[in-house]
Amino acid sequence: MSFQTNIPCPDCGSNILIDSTLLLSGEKFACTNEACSAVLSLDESSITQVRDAFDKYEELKRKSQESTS
Amino acid sequence: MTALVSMAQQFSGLPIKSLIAAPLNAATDANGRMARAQTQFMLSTCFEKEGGELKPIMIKFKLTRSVVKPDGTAGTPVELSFDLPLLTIIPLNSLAVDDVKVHFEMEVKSSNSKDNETSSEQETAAKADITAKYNAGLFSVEVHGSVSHNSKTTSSSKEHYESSNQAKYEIDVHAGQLPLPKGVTTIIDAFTANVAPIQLKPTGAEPQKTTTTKKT
Repeated sequence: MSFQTNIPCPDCGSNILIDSTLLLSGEKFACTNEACSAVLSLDESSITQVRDAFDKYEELKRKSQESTS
Repeated sequence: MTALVSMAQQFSGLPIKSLIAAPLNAATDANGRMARAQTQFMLSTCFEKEGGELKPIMIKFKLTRSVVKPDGTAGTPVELSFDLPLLTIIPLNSLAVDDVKVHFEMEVKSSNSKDNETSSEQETAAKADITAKYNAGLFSVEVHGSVSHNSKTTSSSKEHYESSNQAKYEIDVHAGQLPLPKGVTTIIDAFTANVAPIQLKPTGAEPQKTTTTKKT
């Protein structure tokens, strides 16, 4: 299950919307500012680290939902 | 007829305090557990211990920018790498129970009805024929008489009693997102600001961080 997040564009400061699943699959994300040509992607060296973090985050969300249901 | 049930008496024994407090206590406990789990997650996943200090785990991103030559033609795109704290891309939000609704509905319905229907049925029948004859010389008198009696009595008894109690107890719990604590927001903002590249001045001056304007 993917989730969306955003980080500020290093070039112009606008938001770059990121989908967790697409990020891990190597997709590139363009800045939402049309005048900015920045494109962002996750370096291959960090994919494993980010995947682990995302998995743990999903587990945390699942546990939170269980505790309220 | 049996007396109707006293409504006040029916409600007097209800554990109203428990009915209301129990769901609220459960929600508070759930909130506490979620807060602890999120803190634990943040510290264990997004930070690493180095010499007794927690340092943010950095991940590497690639940034590609288009280049436009002075003559207006497209140049070779420039790719640069930068490190970003892992914490800034995890959508941490304070998941918590933000709404608890307790609905308690109790209906005490008491009704008595007693129907008595009495009827008796008794049937008797009697019949008598009387014949009398009198002769007096040339005359003769004859009298015929008939008497009959019929009686019918029916008896029945019917009793009906009805009573009902209804109780409904509903608890709605909704978990939503609470704003992050100010301290956590400040940490994330500080990390996020580090995404901006550091621009060096041409004459060996101290590195100066570029200021970026956030568009919201």
